[in-house]
Amino acid sequence: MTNPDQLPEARAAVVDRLGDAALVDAAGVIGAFQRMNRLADATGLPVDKPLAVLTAGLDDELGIRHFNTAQHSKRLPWVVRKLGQMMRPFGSVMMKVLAPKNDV
Amino acid sequence: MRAETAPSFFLNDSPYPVREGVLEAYRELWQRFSQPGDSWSGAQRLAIAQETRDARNCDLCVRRKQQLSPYGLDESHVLSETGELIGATAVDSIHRIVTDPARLSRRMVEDARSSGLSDEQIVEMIGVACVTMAVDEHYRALGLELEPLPEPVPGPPSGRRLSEDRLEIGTAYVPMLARDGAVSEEADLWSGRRTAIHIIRALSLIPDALRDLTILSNEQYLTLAEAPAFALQPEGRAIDRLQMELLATRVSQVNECFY
Repeated sequence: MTNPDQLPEARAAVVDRLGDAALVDAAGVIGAFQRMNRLADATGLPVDKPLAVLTAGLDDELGIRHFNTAQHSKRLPWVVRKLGQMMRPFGSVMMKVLAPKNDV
Repeated sequence: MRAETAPSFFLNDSPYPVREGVLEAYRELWQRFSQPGDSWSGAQRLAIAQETRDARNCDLCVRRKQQLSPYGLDESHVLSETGELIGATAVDSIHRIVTDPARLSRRMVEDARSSGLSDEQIVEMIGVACVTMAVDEHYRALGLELEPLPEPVPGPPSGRRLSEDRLEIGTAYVPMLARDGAVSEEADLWSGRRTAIHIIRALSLIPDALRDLTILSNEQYLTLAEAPAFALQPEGRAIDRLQMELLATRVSQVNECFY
């Protein structure tokens, strides 16, 4: 939703289903990512390599390669993309492995 | 509009129960914005924040967004009193960041450099603009009136700069502290971790800009320690991690953010 006129109805729906506190926290996350998206694209950040490998191919599946901001992240070579796709079922495990090493 | 006294963020009339931690963070950020930074004065930092707000009602930005190219219109912004404090290129950059994020490109940073802005000024400007927007968007999403900006604390910017040998140049449009660069006075920047991902390092050329971001992120989203642990349910939140990531994805899709 990008139409501000729809906001009162959207707020009411969230409050009705999840409660006041959920609306507040949901709005906070929206604020955080309005900031994070702009920060990433104003500074031209490429996707971090480990994450790019683990999510290889997802950009095509999601249809986001046409985003102008994809220019910041070079398309990975075919072999690496295939490797990433093979590793994807283990993605959540890989994240757990990588996270304690502080590299992602 | 400026507050005559210290900003409140108390929300006594709010129909929604905003967590005290969130309001404390916002109060701290407003106080930090009013102080001289490393490359802009307090008045200039607040001018950046004001331009972030004004961009939403900018006629030129509306017409520009309708153009096939973001640089298709050969027009400049008419500078307001606050705009005069930071100059035409900074105003133009801030308006692009706010109103046309999907079409941001290297040109915005190169134009800013060509106009005489330093990398430090560019990074600090992006930081103040993005944090202001995050606070304001939280309020807008809740239908609350925006908090007035504080009065600036007089004084020049510190001029503090990181030495060039600590920087990573070329990964992004702006230099960043190297992955293993959170040492010495900057030891706190990666929150005790050995390295950090790009989104954390993006503003690290101005360490205080990254600290602003950390204050904000800890309350609006997650701490640096929590972020990579997708199974973790953050404490004290009324939505779970999956719901948070769903919202994050939707916002990023609307903004066409590939990162």
